[in-house]
Amino acid sequence: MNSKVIDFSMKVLVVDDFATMRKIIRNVLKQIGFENIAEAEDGAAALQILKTEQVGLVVTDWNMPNMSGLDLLRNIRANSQFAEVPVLMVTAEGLKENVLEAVKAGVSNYVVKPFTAEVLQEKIETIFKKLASSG
Amino acid sequence: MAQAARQLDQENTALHDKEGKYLTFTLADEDYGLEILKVREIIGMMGITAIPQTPPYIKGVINLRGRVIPVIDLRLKFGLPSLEYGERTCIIVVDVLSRLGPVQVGVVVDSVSEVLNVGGGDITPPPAFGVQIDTGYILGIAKAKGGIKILLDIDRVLAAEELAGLEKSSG
Amino acid sequence: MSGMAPDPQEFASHLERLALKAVMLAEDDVPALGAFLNDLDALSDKLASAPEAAALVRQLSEAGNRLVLGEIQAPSRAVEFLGLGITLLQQWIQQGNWSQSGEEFQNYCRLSEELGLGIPAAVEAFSDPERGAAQFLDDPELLANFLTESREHLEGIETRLVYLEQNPGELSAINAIFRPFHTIKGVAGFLNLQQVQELSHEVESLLEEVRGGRLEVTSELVDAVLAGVDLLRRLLEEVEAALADTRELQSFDLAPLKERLQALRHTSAAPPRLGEILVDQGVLTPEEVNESLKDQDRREPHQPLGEILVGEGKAPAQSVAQALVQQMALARRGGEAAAPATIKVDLAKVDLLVDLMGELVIIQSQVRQNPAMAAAADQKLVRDLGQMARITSDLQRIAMSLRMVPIGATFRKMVRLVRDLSHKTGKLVSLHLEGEDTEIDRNMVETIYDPLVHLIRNAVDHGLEPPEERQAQGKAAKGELWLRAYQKGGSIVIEIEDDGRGLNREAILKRARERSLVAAGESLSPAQIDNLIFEPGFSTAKELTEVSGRGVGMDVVKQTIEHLRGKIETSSQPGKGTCFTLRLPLTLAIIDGLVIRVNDEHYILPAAGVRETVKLEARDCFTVTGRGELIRVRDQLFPLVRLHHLFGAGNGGGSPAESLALLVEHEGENRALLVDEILGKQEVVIKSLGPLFQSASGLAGATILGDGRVGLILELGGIFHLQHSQMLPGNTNLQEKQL
Repeated sequence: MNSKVIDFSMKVLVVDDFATMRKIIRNVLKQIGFENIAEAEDGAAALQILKTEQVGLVVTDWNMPNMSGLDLLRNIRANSQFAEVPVLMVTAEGLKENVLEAVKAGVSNYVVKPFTAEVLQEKIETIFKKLASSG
Repeated sequence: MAQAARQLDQENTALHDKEGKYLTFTLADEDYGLEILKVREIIGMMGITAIPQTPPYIKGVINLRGRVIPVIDLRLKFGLPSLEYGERTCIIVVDVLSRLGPVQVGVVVDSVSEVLNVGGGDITPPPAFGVQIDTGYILGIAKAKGGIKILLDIDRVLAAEELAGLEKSSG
Repeated sequence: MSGMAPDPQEFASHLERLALKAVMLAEDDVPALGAFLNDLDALSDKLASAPEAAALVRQLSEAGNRLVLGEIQAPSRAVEFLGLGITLLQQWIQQGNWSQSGEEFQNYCRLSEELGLGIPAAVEAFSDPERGAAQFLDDPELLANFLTESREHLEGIETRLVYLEQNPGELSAINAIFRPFHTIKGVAGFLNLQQVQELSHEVESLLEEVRGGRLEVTSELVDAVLAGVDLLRRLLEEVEAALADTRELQSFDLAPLKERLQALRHTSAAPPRLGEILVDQGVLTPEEVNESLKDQDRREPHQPLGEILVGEGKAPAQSVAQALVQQMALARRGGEAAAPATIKVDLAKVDLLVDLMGELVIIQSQVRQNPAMAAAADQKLVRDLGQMARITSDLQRIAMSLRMVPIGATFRKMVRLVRDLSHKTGKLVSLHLEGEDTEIDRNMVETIYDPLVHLIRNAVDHGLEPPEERQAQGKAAKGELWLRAYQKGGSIVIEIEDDGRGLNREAILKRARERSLVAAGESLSPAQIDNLIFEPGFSTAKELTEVSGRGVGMDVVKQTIEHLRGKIETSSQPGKGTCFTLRLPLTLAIIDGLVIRVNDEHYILPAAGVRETVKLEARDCFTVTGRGELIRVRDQLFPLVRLHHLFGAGNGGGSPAESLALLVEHEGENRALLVDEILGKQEVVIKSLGPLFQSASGLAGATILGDGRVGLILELGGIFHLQHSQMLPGNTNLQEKQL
């Protein structure tokens, strides 16, 4: 585990309309070592948190009512205050077009349900490794 | 004392709320008034189809341009002696709020007089006695043109419990 | 190689940027890949006039996409491939060509083959469910959360489906149904609930087709999705049970439903192809079509298949033309069905229209029957009147149809009810819906809902036996329940049939005797006994179980149906089952009536209840103490009903002899109705007497008669009942009158 690239004290925002899913992701994030985890049940709530709090990583579901994960991503990338925040998209398999759309819209990485703690950790590490090497 | 005055004030306010236009009509030599807003139209006497198993004051139903509406004889309703219907007899069609929603009801009166503007100051509360009908049906007494008009609360006259009673006696 | 990009300069710099990105590309750098793909997309937009270069860019996009999706076994090779591709494009922009023999091109082709581009890799239906799942299973709290939340998400689906069925185009409605399945599938993957995942995936895929506009919302589709919801709930129940007993999950047979869902998914919305039609019609064999299709591929310029077939003399021009017409018709029909043009109209307006149409029909028939018309021997007038009659009756039919809706939506609400009941009672029920397309007056639909619910509750609660009891009797453990609708003659018939234990006639008779509904010693036919359950006061509070106990008895069901001028009957076979039959009029608006006079009043008697008219003679009239007056017709005795008395329509106390009587029947009961005159038979529009007379017994409503007066429409059930109550001892006044 290359824990040096990840700052485990950062705040991770989990966005999903399904409470069970939020809990699952929270559990996985805890396993990885994150402690500061916030939750939002839709895109609007997520943007509200992003506006008021320093968030280091957003983990969002793709499929949500009102504002989809993709719309949330676009909203994040369009807001200069937090345009740079890494966004990890959680998606179900079988929705290839969605993944490609998200990738083109600037998602930092994506993970397919169901995933293990190792897979999620790997994805998050990749995100921060890239950030470290480019910035 | 002050309390009594306040109460009087409230009554006056309440009576002031009742000012407005009234359709006046006669019933057994007494003058009555109906809030004009309640009145749909006035029609002459026409063929009424009796509904069996109903109290006598329910005259039956009429055909009002394709709609079937009930007709009530106000004399009989108030327990006054009945009068044979003549040329001056009218049916006033009113909108009533029943327990089952708004309904149109025809009311048979001896004759229709005029539409009267009644000021709030001209209205006094109904006396506890002295009139032939139940004071619960009366909004107030209006002094106008040298006489008095009994202002009817038509919703109360055709009130829910009465109509419910009608249902019971018919069923 | 032919054609050039619109602006070589700009294009070159674009490529340069891409080349730079390609060099920096790493297989796991998602944001970089995203930016690269975005640039590639922009590039391909500029390449419309250069097919070769465009094809290459498409290949690169494909490789990039699959790299992002993790579908490529050797990602580093794909990154190399992307770099090579950009190099080739740079050659192309500089030289107007790329060297076919060059090393880059050779490498590019080799990698392209290696990466299997052009053959899209099949999406793996499920990622390995084993991986990572088990760690959550030992978190019962999480599982419990999941169960509750999933149920909540499934909750609204039925209503949304019904809404969607009525508004098939509404994307938000589809999404609202799609989402729960999608979400449940996702979470189920984590929790290692394979079957839950598998099933929700299947439903999701079907809905995905609907979302994409490739599939129409049909009642089969709605049914299948509902079945999916049901099965999913069962799976969740099993998870809950397994969790409670800490045992292994039982697996369900998902195959039949999966097949059903897949079959629906494959009902393509595209019209059949010309070749298929011709094969269907036996004009060509499939081989001949294939051959011509291959031939078509080779031809430049492109030539339609029809032309090739005719040109080669394989099919006569006429057959091809017919097939084309058919194809067009099918395509059009598909399009129309997908989005029928509709407007929303206030129901009150429709009601008024139906009412007025009825009036129009009646008045036109009165005009035609007017003797003055018969006297006017003008051929044109007669013809025109005939034409007017036809148009009015067409208009009336259309007006009526505006208010008709398929009964399916109501039926489908029963699916859920039966499921819940079966759960509550522990009885296994399979519900069969038939005739869901049968149309019924919208105003009737709402009224029959409660009676239907009641009858179905009864069927499951009292009719069907518990599984053990059924098996002990040699029946299948699972009870059958049918809900049918069909049109028969002038009626809509709804049947609720079960294959349960049948009505217990002994118990019914015993109860009826206890409640004095049947006199001691009176013997009844089995059918009469069965119908006792509809008597007021038959069911008692003590009897009502949790399931059917809503304080509503069968008598209320019967009253409701009769209020709609309908009938309810039951037939039952001990041990075999019970069937309730509801007969409802096609429409609430118009009935065939007999106009009768009783003293000065005119009444309308629904013609359906009138058997015949008899002229009474003194020797056929009897008075029996305690039973009132009877008349004899062909050795049968009928109780005499005098409307004069019942309705107080003046005196009518004279001898019935020499006057007219109508033999009327209502639910097997016969009476003779004394009338003064029969004025004729006519269709009448039924109008409500208004809320004040809702419960006026003996009256079904009112109508406007030809002279403009209101005529009352009689209701036989109520009249029989009135007479019955007046016959009771204690009503001395009337008894005296009668004697």
